[in-house]
Amino acid sequence: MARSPFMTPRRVNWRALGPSLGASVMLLAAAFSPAALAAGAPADVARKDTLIISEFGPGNTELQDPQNMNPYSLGGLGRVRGILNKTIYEFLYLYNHNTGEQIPWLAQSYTVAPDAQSVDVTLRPGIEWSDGQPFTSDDVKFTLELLRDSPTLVFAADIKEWVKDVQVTDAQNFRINLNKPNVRFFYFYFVENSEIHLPILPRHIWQGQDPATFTNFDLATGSPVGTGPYVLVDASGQGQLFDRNDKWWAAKTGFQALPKPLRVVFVSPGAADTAAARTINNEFDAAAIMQPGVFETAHARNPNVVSWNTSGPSWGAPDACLYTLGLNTKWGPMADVRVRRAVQHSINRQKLVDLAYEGATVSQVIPFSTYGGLVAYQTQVQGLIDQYKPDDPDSTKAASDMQEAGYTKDSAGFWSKNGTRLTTDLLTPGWLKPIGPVLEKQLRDNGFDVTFKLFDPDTNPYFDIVRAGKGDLWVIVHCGSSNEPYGTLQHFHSKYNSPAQGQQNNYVWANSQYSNPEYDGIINQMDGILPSPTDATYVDLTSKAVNIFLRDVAEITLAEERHVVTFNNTYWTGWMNVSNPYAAPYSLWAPFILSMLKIEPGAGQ
Amino acid sequence: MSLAYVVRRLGVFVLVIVVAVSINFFIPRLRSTNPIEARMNEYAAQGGGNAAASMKALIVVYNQKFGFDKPLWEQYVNYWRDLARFDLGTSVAFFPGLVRDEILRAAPWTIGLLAVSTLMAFFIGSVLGALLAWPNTSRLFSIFVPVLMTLSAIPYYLLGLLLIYLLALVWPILPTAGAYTSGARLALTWPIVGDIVRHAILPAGSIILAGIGFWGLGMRAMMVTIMGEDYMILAQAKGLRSPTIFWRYSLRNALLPQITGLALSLASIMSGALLVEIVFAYPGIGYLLYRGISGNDYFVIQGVTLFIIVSVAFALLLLDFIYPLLDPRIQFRRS
Repeated sequence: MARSPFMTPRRVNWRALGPSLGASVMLLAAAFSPAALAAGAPADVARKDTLIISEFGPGNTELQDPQNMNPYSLGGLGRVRGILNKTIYEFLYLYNHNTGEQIPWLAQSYTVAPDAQSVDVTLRPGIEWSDGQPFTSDDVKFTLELLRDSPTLVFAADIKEWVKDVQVTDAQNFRINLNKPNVRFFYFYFVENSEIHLPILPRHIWQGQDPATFTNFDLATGSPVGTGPYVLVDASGQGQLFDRNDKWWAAKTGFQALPKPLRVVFVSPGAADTAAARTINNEFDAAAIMQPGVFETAHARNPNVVSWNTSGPSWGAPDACLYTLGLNTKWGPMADVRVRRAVQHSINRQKLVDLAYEGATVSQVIPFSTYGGLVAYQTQVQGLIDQYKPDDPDSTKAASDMQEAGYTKDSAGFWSKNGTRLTTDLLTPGWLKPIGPVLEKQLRDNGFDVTFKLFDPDTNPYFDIVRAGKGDLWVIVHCGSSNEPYGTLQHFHSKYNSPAQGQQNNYVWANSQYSNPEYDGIINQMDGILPSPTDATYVDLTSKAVNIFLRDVAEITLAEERHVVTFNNTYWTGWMNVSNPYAAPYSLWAPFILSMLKIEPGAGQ
Repeated sequence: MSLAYVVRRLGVFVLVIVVAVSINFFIPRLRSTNPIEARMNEYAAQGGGNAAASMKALIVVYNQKFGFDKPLWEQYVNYWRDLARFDLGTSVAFFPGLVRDEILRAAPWTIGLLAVSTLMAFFIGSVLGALLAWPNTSRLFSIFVPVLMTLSAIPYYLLGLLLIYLLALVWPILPTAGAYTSGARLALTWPIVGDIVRHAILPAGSIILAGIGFWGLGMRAMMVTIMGEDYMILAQAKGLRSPTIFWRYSLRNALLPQITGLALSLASIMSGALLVEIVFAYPGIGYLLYRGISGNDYFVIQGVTLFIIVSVAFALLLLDFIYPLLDPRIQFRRS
């Protein structure tokens, strides 16, 4: 038998093993050297011509439904917001959340009828689908009436509630007739395009298909067919690849120039730390959101990694949502407004922001974001804020309110009434977990026997409790309007209340169970008026609603939700930021397409 | 090996699968959350469905579509009926995607990564562990003991993060994450194959580094036991050469329990290495299962766990059949 070169009868022969290992290491080093890696680049479009967008939130490792391009089947909204709304589909209007500007896109104009029962829309001329067919009013009619008549589709019930029919005047003009008046219908479903998207479908492709199961995916035939500047060329669990459509209608008509990136790639970011490393390594151009501290580290390692603000600690951008302490105003101990006031006096918002979010956002006391459209209203209700002083952390005032409500402190220092201690859970979904422990501490320091209860990662039980009026206190983001007070203030209308405790309410963000006929009346009036900060009637109604909101502590607005969105200037520059706010910086929202049209090649590596 | 034993063993195999699949069917349903309502909540949280009727209408429609409106026993019977047709159902979260397709899409990545890394960890760990116990090995080799012990105690996802930091950030010679270069199209070409291998080095490396310790320490313990066996003394007395004793007498005998462990490890590959997949953004099956659980997607949970159960049960079955071939001392027959 031949002797092993590594072994002698007595011991391992290190002299033989050493050179062999050394040779192996050298071979590996040569195989994976930067030069070898560059030479072996497997992508058929150069990195410098490729725009890589990672999924918005870190954590995912693979794309959901990579080969399902149906925007309206179950889960369709996620597909639209993830990939389709900036590549395949365009929208009648886009919207700049920072300024409140409505940007005509596929449509040139719209007019709401005086009775708010219909909307007249004019399309831009020369729009084509990616297969060369003309985009016409018939496609809009087909889409809206398909939604109206197909209960299994996303937004179907909304459209069935509002849309009577679509009346086509000609290829460019149509009228949407509504079942009942709604001054905001067109804005809500066709202009803002952030949380709600209604892409228009090509009738010649979709007619005759089962809209609930049609995957709208066939690369051989160019499907999905849309009007957008890109076409799908590949899709797998790791990524979706879209190549530029050089025959894009907007470039042909001169409406827009072709975008510079030849290929757009969507990938999953991986864990938060991995996503940060990949961003630092210039693997992503539009990256996932980061925690402020992580962003600062990434920016220090690679100055090309940037965010919305150019200086900290508040690097992030608003998103029309507010960090909020929800209160059950109908059932349980929080039904007493004096207890709600005491809770509010127990909270130190600035400390909360500093501890939970490293000072990366601003405290807020009414449910208005700092978007331009809303700031105009906030200044007009500042007097009410000064009057009620909701941001007034004061243990003495908290104690006074509790005593007025009939509570006394028990031997353990917690508030009790008739021998029963006020004990409750502070319900907190996983994505808001930084807030929970801080609020718990502040409330316990003021005598509330509150326990932070986390729901992570499954938040369904949390929503089951909160939406059915079974919780007392919960942390939530209250998302509402991005351009006028009505969008958020309406959530305190009693129409959103649960029919009875234990039954789910009608809307996910309207959980206060607040009921006040006077308030309902104000909201009903606002419902029929188009918003304007210069309209005295609208502003007066806003003031009245805010007055009641603050007086009755319908909920406790804590701070603005701000996301540290990240971009990388290495390969592409010209991203939106606080100095160049041409669109909100969220890759989930349709106006993000504006950045894809504006970015220019960077210096590269 | 008697026919009766084979039949009995096959019966146990079927019984294990039936019981496991039944448990697997009922446990997710013990949760109070309805998967359709959960999906709708997610959808509502994204901003959809402002009309009061939206959610309720969709929930009713999809509950009927998925059969959640039927009594539990009827769902159970239907599940077995579908299973008999190799139909694992339609995913709730990936509707209208079939669970089978989702598994087939994710499985190759996981199997490829974990099979190679498990085998490599096994072979390297076992040989190193055997050398550690071998009296003729250089004393320098003993430095591997604390290294192996340390590595076996570190979770592989932490090793993964460490590898990313060292080899992707500080000394960027390997890609940070992903299964292949973002922007590339999957095709059976050498550049793509090389790209996939290159992307697999860090995730596989983290599993191998953690696994070497596990296999190495196990092997070392077995070798120490075997050193005192009579046949080892006889081999030395016969004057056999050291490598012959090492490879043929000690290593081969010490490997038997290791092979049991290897079979189980290979069989459980289908469950994926969730944390490695998350850390390295690897599009594998572990994450599919995780998402199925967090999304109350009964059909995905059932589909993936069915694969795991069948894999483990089949591996054990196979092991029982091939053990006598590996170790002639083991025989399955009536005494």
